[in-house]
Amino acid sequence: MSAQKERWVFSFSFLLFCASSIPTRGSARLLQELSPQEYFSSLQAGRASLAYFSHNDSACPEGTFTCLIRKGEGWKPWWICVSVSPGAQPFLEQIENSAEALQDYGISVVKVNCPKEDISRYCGKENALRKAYLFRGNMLIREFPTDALFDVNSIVANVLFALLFNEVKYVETLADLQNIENALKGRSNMVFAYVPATGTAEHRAVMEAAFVYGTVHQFVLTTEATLLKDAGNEESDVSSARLFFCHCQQATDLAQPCRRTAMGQTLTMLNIHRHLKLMGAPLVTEVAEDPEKVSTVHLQLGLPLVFILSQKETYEADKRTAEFVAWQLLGKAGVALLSRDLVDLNILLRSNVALKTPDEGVPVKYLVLEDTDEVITLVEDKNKVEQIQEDEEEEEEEDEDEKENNNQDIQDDQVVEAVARDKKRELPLEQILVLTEETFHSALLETARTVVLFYASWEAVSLAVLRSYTEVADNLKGRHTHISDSVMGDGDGDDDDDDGDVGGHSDCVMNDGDGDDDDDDGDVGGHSDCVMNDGDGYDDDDDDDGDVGGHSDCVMDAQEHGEGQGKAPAAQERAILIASGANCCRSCFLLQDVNLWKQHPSDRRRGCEVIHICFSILGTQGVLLSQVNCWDWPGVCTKENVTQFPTIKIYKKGERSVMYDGMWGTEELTSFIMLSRVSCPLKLATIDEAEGYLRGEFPSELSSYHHTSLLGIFSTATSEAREAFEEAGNILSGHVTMGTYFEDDALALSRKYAVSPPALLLARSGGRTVEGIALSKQSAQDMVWMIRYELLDIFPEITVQNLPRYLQLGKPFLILFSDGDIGQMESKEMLKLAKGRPHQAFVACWLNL
Amino acid sequence: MAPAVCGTLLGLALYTGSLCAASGTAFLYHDYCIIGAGPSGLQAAYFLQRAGRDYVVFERSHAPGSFFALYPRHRKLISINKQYTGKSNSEFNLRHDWNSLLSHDRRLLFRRYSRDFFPNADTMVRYLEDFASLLKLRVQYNTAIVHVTLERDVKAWNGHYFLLTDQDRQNYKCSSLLVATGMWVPNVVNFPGSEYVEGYETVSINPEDFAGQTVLILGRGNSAFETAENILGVTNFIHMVSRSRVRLSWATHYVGDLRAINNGLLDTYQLKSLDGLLEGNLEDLAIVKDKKGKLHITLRFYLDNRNTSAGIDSITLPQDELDNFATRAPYDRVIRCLGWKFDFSIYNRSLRMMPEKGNKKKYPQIKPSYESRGTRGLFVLGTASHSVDFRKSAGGFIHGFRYTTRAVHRLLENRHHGVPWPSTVYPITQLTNTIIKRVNEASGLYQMFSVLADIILLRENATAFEYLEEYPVGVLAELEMQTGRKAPNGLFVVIMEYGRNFSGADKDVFYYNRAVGEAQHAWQSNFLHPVIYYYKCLPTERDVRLRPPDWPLPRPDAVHHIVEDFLTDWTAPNAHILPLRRFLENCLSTDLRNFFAESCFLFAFTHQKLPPFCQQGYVRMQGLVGSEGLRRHAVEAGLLEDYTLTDFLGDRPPDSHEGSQDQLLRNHAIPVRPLQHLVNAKDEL
Repeated sequence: MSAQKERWVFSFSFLLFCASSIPTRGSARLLQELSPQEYFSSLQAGRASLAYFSHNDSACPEGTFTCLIRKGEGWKPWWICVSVSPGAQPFLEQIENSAEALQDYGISVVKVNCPKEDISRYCGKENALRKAYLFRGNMLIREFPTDALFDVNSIVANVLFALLFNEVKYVETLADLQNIENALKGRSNMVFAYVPATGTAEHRAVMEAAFVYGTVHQFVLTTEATLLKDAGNEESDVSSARLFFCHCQQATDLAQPCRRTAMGQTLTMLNIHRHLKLMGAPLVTEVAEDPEKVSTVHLQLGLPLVFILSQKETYEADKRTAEFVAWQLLGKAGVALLSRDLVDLNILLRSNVALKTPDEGVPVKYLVLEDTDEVITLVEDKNKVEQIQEDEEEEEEEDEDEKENNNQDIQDDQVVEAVARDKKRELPLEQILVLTEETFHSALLETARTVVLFYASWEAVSLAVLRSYTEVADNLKGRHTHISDSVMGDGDGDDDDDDGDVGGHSDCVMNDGDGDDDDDDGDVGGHSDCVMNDGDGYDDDDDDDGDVGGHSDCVMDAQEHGEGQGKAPAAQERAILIASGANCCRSCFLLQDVNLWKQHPSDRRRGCEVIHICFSILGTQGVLLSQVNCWDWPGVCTKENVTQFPTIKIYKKGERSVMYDGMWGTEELTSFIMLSRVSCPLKLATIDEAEGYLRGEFPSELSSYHHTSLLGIFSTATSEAREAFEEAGNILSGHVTMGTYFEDDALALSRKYAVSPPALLLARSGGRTVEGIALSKQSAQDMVWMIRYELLDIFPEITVQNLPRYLQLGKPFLILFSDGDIGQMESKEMLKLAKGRPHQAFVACWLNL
Repeated sequence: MAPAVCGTLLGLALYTGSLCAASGTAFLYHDYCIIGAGPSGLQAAYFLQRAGRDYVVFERSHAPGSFFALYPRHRKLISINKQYTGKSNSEFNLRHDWNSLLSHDRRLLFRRYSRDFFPNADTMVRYLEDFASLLKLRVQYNTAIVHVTLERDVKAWNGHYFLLTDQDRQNYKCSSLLVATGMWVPNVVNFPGSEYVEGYETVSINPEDFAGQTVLILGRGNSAFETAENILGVTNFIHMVSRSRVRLSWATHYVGDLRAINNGLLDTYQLKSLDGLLEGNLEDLAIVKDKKGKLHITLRFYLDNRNTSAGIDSITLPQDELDNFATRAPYDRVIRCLGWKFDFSIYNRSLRMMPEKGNKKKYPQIKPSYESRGTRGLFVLGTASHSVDFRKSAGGFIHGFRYTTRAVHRLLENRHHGVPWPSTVYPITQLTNTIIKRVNEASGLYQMFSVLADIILLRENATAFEYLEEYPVGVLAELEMQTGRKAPNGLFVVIMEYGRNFSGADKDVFYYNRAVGEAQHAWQSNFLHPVIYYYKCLPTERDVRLRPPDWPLPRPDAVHHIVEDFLTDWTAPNAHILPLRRFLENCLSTDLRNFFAESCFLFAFTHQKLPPFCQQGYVRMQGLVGSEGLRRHAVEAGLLEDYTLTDFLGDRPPDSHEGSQDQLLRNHAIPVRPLQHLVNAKDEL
């Protein structure tokens, strides 16, 4: 680097010789690349250029020093030269972008490529590589660190700021400002601008304005917020730029500060231009024609014009009023003095003020106003409307702030708010049976398994759960798995015939829980979707299996049906049935309509319930999903000991109800309902079943709901452990898949997995790994705890769903935070760590950020 | 008769150890004796029966509800029997069923007995008969208790037994006496000529008997107006005299005042259809009968020195001096409709059954716990217990005292049987819900506004609370003793109130802007609305005694009004539930919001202490996952951080985040001097 430095020092000597002869006028490229010689020879007296020097730039071959110069076309010949360190690509882009803007002010931007050996003043200095140089002619005006020129705004602002050194005075203290002000009094006006920082867009706007108006008004710039405050704007926000027009030209009293007119709009070139233009306009225009025809600079700039209607007698007073109003409205509206005597308009006699808006086609408004305040309000209110439109975004931000301050009545409960926003959506509740005080008990009697959601219709969490519940119903409807009878035994050993029939074979089941011996099944259900099943488990002759499920579609072969049973429905009824097509529910309703659904047409009320149940069982596979609104039926809820909303209970015919205590989520609930359909633990009859069970293939319909299967193996002698295991199964029912095997050949199974009964086999992920654990604990509670513990992963990914399970261990967490999936290496290491240390000490896990 | 009763009750009496056959003075013993098988007596019997207590009800008539067999004379009950409310909530519906008693039997709902909005009194009699028989209440009919006295015994529950004697001199002994005799002794005013006055209890109810007559009615209550209503169309005119001005129930919000159904005479008076309403002290009145049998009104003042039996000619009539005296026209009939009073006559002096003071003198003196001030163990139930809330709430009416009777029963269960006041313990997350549920459906709170209140006893650290329903607030200070529940960590009292200055006989209750709609002005609510008082510790008896006038409760540490609601449905998330939740949160310094599992998950990593909803739900594996749609709504509301979005859109940060960064940059743009800036500015790139 030191060699380069020397070369830079050297190079300056012939910068002066850099060619000015290279003709660039009309060139398409605004940024020019020159060698130092070319560059310095091109510098002309009085012309400004911004140059930067570049080393090892791939664009210029080593050893050459090319300069391309685009001469400024403005009236002020300036050059700006910039040197740049290698790799400052973003800066180069910005400076290239600014070339066009600078060109408007007659400033050229030049990139000077330094040859390697160049050790001239500019090329040779290491620091110089990070600087830009502003030349006027061949005189260096200022050097800028490139980091001050971070974008087009800052480049233009800073360059103009340097060039307009005399036109724009920078002040730091109030005294400086007052000195300038006093010096100007009676001579010229002053434009005072405050910008929070230089190099900003506002700064650029001020500098650009100064470039144009610098000779007319004295520009004063500050970044000191205290100056702004001292200038009587205590309330103003120091983070936004402000501009004032100080009327010093007319000031006569040296002791008084000049009158100021603040610019209301944001500091942009256009707004400043507009403001200065307005300040330049006469305070009060005297007009003598129809207001409709009058046009002033105010109207042209989109501001309203206020006419003060005068007459000879009061001319002097009116003029004073007009001037007073004009000062108040300066920058907001124009004021004109109109003599009624000169214009022959009737309307003028009845009013004293007229308002003309810049909008075309809007007639002049004539008004009678009491005092000047009203005139001002008239304009300012109008302005307010405009301002609101202009600053809509800002307003919105402010509104939000206000809301935050006064958030007492803003809903901050995410669940309540989410439910409120969703309330207009109609929930698909067709799959869910609405139970009432009257129907609750009969419904429970009629189905093998009833899930009841107890909720309150005004309570947000309930309603959130209800939404998940409809999704559960939808999920269950979507599945059409076949459930075999052998699996569906509910483990209690009694011979209830319900499960196998309900839902398994058909889309829709009519469940008749009355216990009478009606032999209706064969008549109705056999050939259509609508299967009627005696769910009573008492004394039917159970010949229904043969009839049920024979046909899986909804079209009924009425002919055959009728002849076979001798109870043919009327032709019309048949037609309805057939027309109902695949929509089972419809057919059920239609069945009801024609009293075909049952052989007891007189009992319509019960019929309705049955139909309802049919309706909801549709697709939910023998599980009736239902809901009770405790706001409507508090009696049921109290009786069922529901003290919290929501509560979900699963009622199994003839057994105690089970309260759902898992996550209130669609998946969790679906899985619970599906898993709790299978008895827990499930008694496996053969060794093949047991093997299939461990592979997760059996029972097949549950394969998608669980990941880990547990199998308890017991020798016929160990009944105590088996009972405890079964009790544990009852507790974990719905959450875990558990099976038992205690046939004579259990030993074979245990030998295969190298355990001795009583033992527990743990098959993870479809039986690829089977772990054997000896069952030493005898109590059901211990077993529950052990099973829960064994189901936890050693190095899990912590998710919303599983965190509580690990929290319950009550151990500190060792968390690997990862952005995305963790790699195999990390996983391995962590696994080692988790396994290696006595992993009772902490929970090792990882978290995807 | 007595031995027969003895025989039937032998079984019951035997185990008490008192022998029926011993002698004529032997007592039949019961733990509880109830006098009167009217609505409140039967209601009390029902609760005692359900609790398996030893009790008996004495009824002088052969059937229950003998008062209703006679009254109201014109047979139309003015207690509403609303068939439809648009709701199926049975508790809520009781708010608009003023006739049913409380029971578990759905058959015993009054609307199954009558479809009339204002049912016939015969239906009430039938209903009470069914209530007693269907529930197999132990009522001893045809037994008029004529005397009650005390027998001191330190072993007795209250230090004495109550000895009751019936009309056949049969004696009964009870540990606790529940007086449910109602108010049945007609109020009579004595003045010269009062012998010409007919009583409401016997006056003809056949309008034809009044055809072409001029009638004066004494009184201005519902019975007076009911009587007038009946004969309004056939009389020449009716005048009505009473000491105080008429009180309209829709202005006073007191159901005992004149009900609109009876106020036809107000119409004809104000429309100058000859009928009229006057105020005057009845005790100053005198009536003289002329030769034609017409009745003239004069003043006792004129009669003072004369014999009433002297002819009418010798008596000064007001019109003699004031010839436009209002009631100068003679009357054909004068009817007394002055209401009833409690029968004090059967109590021995030792019981110190004293009348209340002032306008409540028709009632016996009782404490806010409904126990007699004079005798421990004697409770007054039903209409006779109305002194507690006379002219305020509904304690004198079936729809009110069915709840106060239950409250008395609960007090007794705790006092004598060690059964604490029933309560339910909930986790704190259910606090808002429980209150909302109760204020929306509870009938006891609604009917017995400002008298019965739900009490929420907070558990330590405000993690759970215990909920007690419908406790009489008058004995709030004795809560721990009366209920057997402890309140060491502060309590909320949920009560319902009308606006303080809204009700009154002279108040305009239809003024513009009478109803408050905005939650922030809830404290100005006029119509019945729930109010929640918060006490950091249980108020003392002194606090209760020194409470501001017209306040049902002593000054709380904090109070919250739930804004009145046109539909009395206080379930609006923003206007009702949110302000309530904030109030509870402020009192308990806890966060009672609900959160989706995702938020709880985040809190688990970022907060030391989780909000109760996460602590009691998510952490116990009962987090609220919420459907995707709901979570999206929460994200849109800015209440849930959106992670899915970042996942989908890669490195684009969410908008809000971007905004805040901008804000950050803006705030950090420190103004610097330009030259310094040029030299020192930090490289933003």
